[in-house]
Amino acid sequence: MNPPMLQLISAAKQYQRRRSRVDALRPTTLTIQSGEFVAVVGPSGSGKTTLLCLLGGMLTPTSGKVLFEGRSLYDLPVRERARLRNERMGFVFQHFNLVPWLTALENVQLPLCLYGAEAHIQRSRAAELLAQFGLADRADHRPCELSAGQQQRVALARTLVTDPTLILADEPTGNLDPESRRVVLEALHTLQRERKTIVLVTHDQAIAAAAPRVLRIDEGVVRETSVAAMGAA
Amino acid sequence: MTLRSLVWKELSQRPAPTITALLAVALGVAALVSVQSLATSSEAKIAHQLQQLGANVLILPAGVGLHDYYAADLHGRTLPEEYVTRIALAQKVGVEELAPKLCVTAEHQGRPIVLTGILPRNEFFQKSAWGSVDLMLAGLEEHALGKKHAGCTGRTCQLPPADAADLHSYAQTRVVHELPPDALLVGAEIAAREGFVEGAEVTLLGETFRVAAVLPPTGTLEDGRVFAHLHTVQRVAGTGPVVNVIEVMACCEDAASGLISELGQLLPGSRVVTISQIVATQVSVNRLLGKLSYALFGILMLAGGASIAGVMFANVAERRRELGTLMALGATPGILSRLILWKAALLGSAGGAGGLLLGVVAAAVIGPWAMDVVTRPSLSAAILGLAGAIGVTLVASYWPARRAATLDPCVCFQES
Amino acid sequence: MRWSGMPWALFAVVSLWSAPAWSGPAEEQLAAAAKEQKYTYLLFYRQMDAATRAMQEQVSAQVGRSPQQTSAVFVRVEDPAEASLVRRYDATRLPLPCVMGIAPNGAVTGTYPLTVQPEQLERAILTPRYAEMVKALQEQKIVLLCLLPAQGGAVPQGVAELEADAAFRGRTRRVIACADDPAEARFFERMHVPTSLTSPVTIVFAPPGAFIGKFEAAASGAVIAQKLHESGRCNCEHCQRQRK
Repeated sequence: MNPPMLQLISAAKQYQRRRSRVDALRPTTLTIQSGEFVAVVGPSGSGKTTLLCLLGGMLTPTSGKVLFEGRSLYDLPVRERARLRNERMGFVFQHFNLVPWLTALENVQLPLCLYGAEAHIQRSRAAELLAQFGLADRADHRPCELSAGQQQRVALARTLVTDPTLILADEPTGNLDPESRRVVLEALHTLQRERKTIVLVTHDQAIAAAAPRVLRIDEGVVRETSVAAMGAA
Repeated sequence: MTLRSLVWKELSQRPAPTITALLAVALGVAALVSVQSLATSSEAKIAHQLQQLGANVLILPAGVGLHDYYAADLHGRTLPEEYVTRIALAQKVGVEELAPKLCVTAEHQGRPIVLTGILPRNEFFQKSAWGSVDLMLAGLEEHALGKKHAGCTGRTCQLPPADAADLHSYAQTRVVHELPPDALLVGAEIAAREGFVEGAEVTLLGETFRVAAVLPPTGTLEDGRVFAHLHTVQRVAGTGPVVNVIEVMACCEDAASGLISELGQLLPGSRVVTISQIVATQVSVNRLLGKLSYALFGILMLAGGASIAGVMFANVAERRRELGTLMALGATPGILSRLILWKAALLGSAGGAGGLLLGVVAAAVIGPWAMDVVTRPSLSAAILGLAGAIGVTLVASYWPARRAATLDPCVCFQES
Repeated sequence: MRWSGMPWALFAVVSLWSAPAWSGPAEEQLAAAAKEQKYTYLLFYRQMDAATRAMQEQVSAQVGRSPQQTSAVFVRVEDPAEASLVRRYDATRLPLPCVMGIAPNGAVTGTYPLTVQPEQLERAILTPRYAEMVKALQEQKIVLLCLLPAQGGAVPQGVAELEADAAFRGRTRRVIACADDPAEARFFERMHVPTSLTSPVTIVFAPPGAFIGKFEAAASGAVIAQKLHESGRCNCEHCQRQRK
């Protein structure tokens, strides 16, 4: 039997801020299986982003362990962790995080460039992804020449260009118009159908409601919850 | 797309902040390359002149400064011509030839012309011969002429009589054996300007001269002069028996340096300098310039380095989210460091190349204009400048690169 | 002109005795002295200053010591009557005052500007052959001085060979002096050759008075020529390095 995609074992994160200790994430144990779509909800400053960083191998927990497919993520060397992020994980950001001085095509190429793929492979794969998101004619545009929705689609294309198994999304629809929001959600659902594991931080009740599993964080404490409970909260 | 092309794209898209930071580096390299090129070319020119001029001594009126050997008689102050006779009669060891000069301004068809009086060697040879008895005595008793300079005839006495008789040879030898009172030797430049040809008659200061020779070009100020017998020039200019400078051609360096104190005592109120001293002064000025250029280079490199460090820190700070995103996409801290350092190397190369170009152009313009030197770029300064520029930018970017490498990748989730 | 003080009283006496020429065409006096086989001290001056007076004293004293052999002519360079002589010796361009020794044959046997010492004036009096040699040097000739022993002897073969050498033809002057000629004893002494020499000696001088070498009778023309060619070389260390 395959190990779970992600496991938190008593993982906690504390910060030291102006001589006082902040519990960004209290000791948490949870498991996310491969192919799961998990929505993470909670008020601002509750620890959602900390959780996402821990899961993405970008923030060493103060205590506990984070396992990725059974391997302790933070016991891996930095280079290895970076390799895992590049090959197995994909990130979607609320503000798209496109590199402003690169074209749409070059932005999508970035993960492949970091991977060390050959130039023609980078270009053809990135063009394919852009076409998939209806942006073939915008390949040479810079982010500032694209709408918010188009930028997020470019960001999604960049996320998927390495065909990751785990997608960590931080408010991917937060800055989008309804049409763009619909396109992004469709894409996420398609990925879910393709058995990708998706962890999605959102404030959007509708999106959370559509998620098979919802985690709620309050002041660093993670709880399994349901949409009804969310509504009540 | 590669990491290097990423760096290039970023630079080409946002060049403004880095160009200003590079200014100091480029100026430092330009200063180094231009001054070193000027100094090297000037030294080469001096060495060439020294080789051409031999072991010569200049006797000038006291207080006259000397910046250009070929303009030693252009100061307007005079010495009595009897000083020439004193030297000829004194039979100082190592004195081979004497070339006194008097420089006056004449006009030809309304245009000014520098007319220089020169003394043919037969004039002072005759006076030297008046001391034959003493000379023989000294030779026989191995006194003054003794072992050290016995028979020393150095450069000019080996001049074959035919060469000395050819007036055209004056351009190279700076000596003529005989010169008729109405003969005019014309520099190449002035001949071309005024249309003087050999055999033509030219009236200067009311005197009619005959162009006896148009001298071949020498590349010195003398190309723009005309020369006549010193005594004729004295007469037509009404100066009396005076000269502006006396050039003493010594048999060798040893003799030239030994002559300074002897001639100083013999000719009160005069300033005696050797070509070696002039060269030494010029060379020391060049060396000082060279050292100053290194100092200036160092200072500008420090300023440039500080400026680049500042720009790179600012660059890392403003790109925190971008760099964090790159880490989220799989970039290691090492890759981020390399991105910054490659950028620094590219900037250093660009600054160095720009400075190099500026320095070469500046030296090429300043050399002929201010120092009368055709400048050749100094390869060692160019290499040092380029290496220095790249080195400084790399060192200055080391800490920004480290900061980039230690960035918290979670910044990619923050709002900009 | 000021004529006062003790030195001038003495000078007046001396000048009356040796009859130096103070005015008039000095050239004529010079020619007259030459005719009498006298050496002339030709003193050029610009003004009667202390240096001129001191020089005149020295010259007059020397003439007083050997009135049969010497005379003195004093010439003010700005005197129009003496322009020809002044021009001949380019005296306006001499450091003045200046005394010149003039041999009867016209050779300048000494030129002493500003000051002069009795021994210098004495040195300007030459023997006949010596004066002939100096004259030749002043005419830009290479002098081949042949000093012959008292018992007589031929001019060395090397001298004739050199005179025949194409490189030196017409550029040499042969001067012969015999050890048995009492008039030339001083010349032998000056040349550092004893009058008791047993075989001829050749001494070569080049203009203006450079000593080239002393050669024994057997020296060939080629040997002397080689020495003359070499005389254009410097023996100082610098030039030796340069030659290497």
